[in-house]
Amino acid sequence: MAKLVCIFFFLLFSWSIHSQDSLSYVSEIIEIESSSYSSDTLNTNTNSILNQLDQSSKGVHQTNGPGLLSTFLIRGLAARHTGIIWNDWSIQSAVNSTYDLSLTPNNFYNMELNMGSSSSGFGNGAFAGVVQLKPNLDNHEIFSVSSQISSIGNFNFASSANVELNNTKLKFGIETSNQNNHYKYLFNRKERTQENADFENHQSFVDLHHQLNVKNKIGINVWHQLAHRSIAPSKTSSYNNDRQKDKNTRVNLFFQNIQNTASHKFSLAYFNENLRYRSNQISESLASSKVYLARQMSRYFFSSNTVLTQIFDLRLDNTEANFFEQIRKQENLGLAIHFSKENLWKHFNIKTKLRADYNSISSFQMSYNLQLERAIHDKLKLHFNTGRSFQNPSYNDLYWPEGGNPNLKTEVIYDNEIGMEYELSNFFLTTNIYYNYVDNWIQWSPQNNNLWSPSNIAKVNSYGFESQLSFQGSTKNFSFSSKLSYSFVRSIILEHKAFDDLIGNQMIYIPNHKINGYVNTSYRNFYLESDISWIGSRFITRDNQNSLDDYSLINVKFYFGNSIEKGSLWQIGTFCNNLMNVDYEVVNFYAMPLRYFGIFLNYKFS
Amino acid sequence: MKNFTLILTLFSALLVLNSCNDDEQMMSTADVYTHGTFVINQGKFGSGTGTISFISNNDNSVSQNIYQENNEGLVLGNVAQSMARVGNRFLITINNSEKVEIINASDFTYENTIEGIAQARYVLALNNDEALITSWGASGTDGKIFKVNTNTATINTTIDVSGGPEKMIAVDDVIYVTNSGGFFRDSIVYLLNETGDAIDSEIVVGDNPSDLVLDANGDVWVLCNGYTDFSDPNQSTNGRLVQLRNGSVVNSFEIGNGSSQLEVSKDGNTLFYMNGGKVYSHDINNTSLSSTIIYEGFFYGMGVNPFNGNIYLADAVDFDSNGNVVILDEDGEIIETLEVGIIPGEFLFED
Repeated sequence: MAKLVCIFFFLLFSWSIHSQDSLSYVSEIIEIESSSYSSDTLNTNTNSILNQLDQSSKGVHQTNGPGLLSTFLIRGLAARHTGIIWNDWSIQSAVNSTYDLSLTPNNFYNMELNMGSSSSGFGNGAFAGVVQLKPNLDNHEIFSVSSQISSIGNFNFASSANVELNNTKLKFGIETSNQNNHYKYLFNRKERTQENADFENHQSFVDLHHQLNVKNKIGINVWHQLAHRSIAPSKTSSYNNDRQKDKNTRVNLFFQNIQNTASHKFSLAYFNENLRYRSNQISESLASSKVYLARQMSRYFFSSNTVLTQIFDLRLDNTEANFFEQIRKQENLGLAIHFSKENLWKHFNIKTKLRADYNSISSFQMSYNLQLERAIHDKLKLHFNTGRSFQNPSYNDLYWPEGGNPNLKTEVIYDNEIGMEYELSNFFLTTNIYYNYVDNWIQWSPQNNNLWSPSNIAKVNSYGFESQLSFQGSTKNFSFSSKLSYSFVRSIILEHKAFDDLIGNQMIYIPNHKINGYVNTSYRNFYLESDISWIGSRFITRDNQNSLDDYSLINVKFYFGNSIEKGSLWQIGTFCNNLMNVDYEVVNFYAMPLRYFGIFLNYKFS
Repeated sequence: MKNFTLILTLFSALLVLNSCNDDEQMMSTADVYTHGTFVINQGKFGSGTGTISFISNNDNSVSQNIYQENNEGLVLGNVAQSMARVGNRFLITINNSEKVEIINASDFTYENTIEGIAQARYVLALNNDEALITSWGASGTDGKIFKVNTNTATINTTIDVSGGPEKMIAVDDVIYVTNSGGFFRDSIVYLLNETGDAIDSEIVVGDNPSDLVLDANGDVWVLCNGYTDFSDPNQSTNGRLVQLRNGSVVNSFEIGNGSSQLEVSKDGNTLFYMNGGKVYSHDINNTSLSSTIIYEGFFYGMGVNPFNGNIYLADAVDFDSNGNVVILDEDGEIIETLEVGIIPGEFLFED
């Protein structure tokens, strides 16, 4: 690690020594482009990340309830197949390949959903799509504070400040939530109160970018988190006193050099991720991962419309867990070439990505992506996307002491998508059709000795259709915006090595149909937002004999927003989640809240 | 007015007839559950609910989810471990929910719940109103044997034992209780007094005794699973089939590690147990182990119908989908395979 730091600073100063031109802040940060054509940017300003995920029709927000495990399933695939990217680095756990989205900050980062596989950019784990957490230093808010309290005993507070000097931008903040999650739910015809899902989450953030000179910039991103919670059991189980503690620190350093025809970025990152789980049956599970990362990325501009990007990255994972016999390590080397050319022919754009990864456990993997875009006219665009991505097995898959399978192969996906974007006046329509083929699907199942063990048991095919219609309009005092989206997905088992009967069945917890609607209206300084979602029925057993009922939810928010002086904004309002008091389950027998209310207060000074 | 009276009379008659039909249906529903086999399906581990399937003796037809069906959608909880008749009631142990449900045996409707029995395992009826229930305790190490009153759904006495008390059997005035060690290791069979209030003595048998049956000679046979050490397989031990007579060991046969599910034939002369994907039989009068393989396949549970001698094997399939019950005759020939609920584990046979 020390060598890497030395190399980083050597490169930093050798690049920055050139010029001492007059300084001005250049906001552009070179980022890895996802291979996705279909993206949603979530507005984190007035809503929680998890509520926003509920509103996206392009995936399924899978949760055991507020404060508990939350994941996002994209296009009919599994939770582990959704990559979570922070500052271009994957933060999925090497222990179990998943990331719990309930740990995600609500206010500090912009969140972007990218559908479709992206291993050709991010490497391992960007399998079905990625959720990107991106720093936001360009919102011109000097100071902001937001707080929320709800009738289920939850209190959230966030505050951040931006400091901008000639050549430096600094954003820092805290976010803290103290959630009792004492919500009402129904079980066995009785109304009960959830009492075992308390969740405390304290986070602090620093994003600092410093322009060394007109060409060179350095930056640091820090995200520290400490979370404690009770793990509420299912409605069918008794109180179990299980508790989990997450302590994570993530640091990213970068140096960026921008020339006339090329730009270069060197990044170093360090993650320290700790998880402790205590229960009656398992005395204590401890896992501690130290991850060291380094990346060099260069982007060459051959002309105004021809760009070549080259990426080289290195990742060292080092995990110590009291349930593994020894410290588990893996090294990964990745090399990628991305090429894009606009107007290859008239109104025809092309992007290609190729990446090779060598992993010390899972050996060699190639990933690629080809994206074609054709503008039929300035209102209509068509696109085609095809690629190959991969997902390595997790440490638990490989080394779990009673059943881990060190011979697992890497999961592979071949994904294809065609789609269109059409704009007409105030309407905007997007439509995608996709077809995915997954090989070496890993599934845990009981072996002959009744011990559970993972194996590459199936081939899976997921295909579907996504469409979204947006509308925006306004008059002098009145504004209106809305979105209506629909998704259809079939995710079926093509081949199963253990149980032929499962072939042709839909994967569990994947609804065939999902509809979302969102309406935002304002009159003068009064705002009304409402989102409506309908989730179709979902099979909960692999034989497709048992299913959960469909459900629909309506959440509403009403607030007053007023600029009391130039550059400052107050928002005060109230919200109601599950307005129709629907008794529903996202995961079978996990309690979800009936109707509850809250109030919030936001202040922003720009 | 005449017409109105006529219509009213016809309508009333229709209502009466209709209500008679309902009564008949309810009666016939109750009758169905008295001649057949209850299959106790554990349900998905961790977050599912146990269910009860009923296989009719008449035509081997299966009624699924009979608890939900007869209780307006109520669910049992996680995990349904076992079921036993105590007088006019059924007791179903729900181990992860730390409770025992009391069910009216005539119509399978919910009556009451005994709370606070952590990891409840098995039930032994003492009389029409009282039963013993074994419990592993919350941690799996603080085992207990509870004596409960089913009229009041209360616990009368509690006996502390070491970890993992399992099945029980009453022979004359002695109650035998296997003590499996739960998640760990033990080798004890407890002998309780006739009323189930106290431990009289204990017998050391083999590692992790879990199952026991009474044979035709009045001897008690105990199946020991053997101890399994996942971290160091060299420390694992073989199972044992132990014959007890008057509270003493008279025979002990070594069987494979991981053996389970001891059952006895209708005439009490043959023992059945499972190990390594095979169902073995042993003649009780043999002085050496007569391990004849009667059927091959991995099964999660086994029962022998004491009324017709058929052997019932529970196939949990992938532990996620509905399971199957394979019914064999006494010679091991398949009679039928039937689909039941998720993770079938235990059987209760009703005449």
